[in-house]
Amino acid sequence: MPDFDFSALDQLAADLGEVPKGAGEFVRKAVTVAARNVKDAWRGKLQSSESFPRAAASIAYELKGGYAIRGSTITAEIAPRLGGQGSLVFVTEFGSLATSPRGYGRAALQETQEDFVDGLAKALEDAQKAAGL
Amino acid sequence: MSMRAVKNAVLARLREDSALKDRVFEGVVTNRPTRYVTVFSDSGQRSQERFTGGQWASTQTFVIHSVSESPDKAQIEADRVFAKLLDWTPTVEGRRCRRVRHASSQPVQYDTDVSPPLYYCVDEFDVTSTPY
Repeated sequence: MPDFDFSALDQLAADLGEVPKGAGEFVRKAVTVAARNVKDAWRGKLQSSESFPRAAASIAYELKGGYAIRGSTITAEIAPRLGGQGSLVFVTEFGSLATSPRGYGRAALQETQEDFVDGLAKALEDAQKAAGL
Repeated sequence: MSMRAVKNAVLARLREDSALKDRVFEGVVTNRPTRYVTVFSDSGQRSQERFTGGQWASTQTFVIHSVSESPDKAQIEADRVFAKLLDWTPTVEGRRCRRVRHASSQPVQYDTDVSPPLYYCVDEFDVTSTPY
């Protein structure tokens, strides 16, 4: 009967098992960078608008949740802080009865989504490296 | 390739509702009635569906304001919009459309900059299409 050596496979399985444990920190960094990119792009569009240039400073982001792998989740919420011109960001985004929606926030999200996907792929790559793979 | 054709299909679909028929507009409405629906359309976010293909797919976003004199009446208009658009698949010459997807909704707003002041619901819908 042939004798197979599965030790290398077992080691690989064990190493792969380490990846999710360490991935959360890298994913969190990727989400943070993506949120910052959306915020900056959104602010840039508002700054160049004639009507609400001071609303730009109201755009902020907040991270919610814990590490992203194994049942935990991480969410970034990018939104205006209410008060001052921040309260008027709704009008720039969705319009009012006298103004058209400009959709700056949606556009900022679309512009940066490719970088987010790349950042996430890099985060998982870094997690593999950290696990010695 | 015409994003205008998709937009016109959406407008026509809304006007099929007998209650909305003469009260569906496009863009900012001047000489506004106290009860209406207006549609704002973009030119479509282009994307590549196949690795070797061009950016042929387009997702067009429709921001729809449903306007009336009270929050409840504005929501009745919004309900009519949902009833006509949700899960409907537009038929447009030259493009294969997917069914309409609800993208977002916002709380009812009160606009005091117009006279008389009016309430409005904001709902966003996406239509993705590819040429054939």
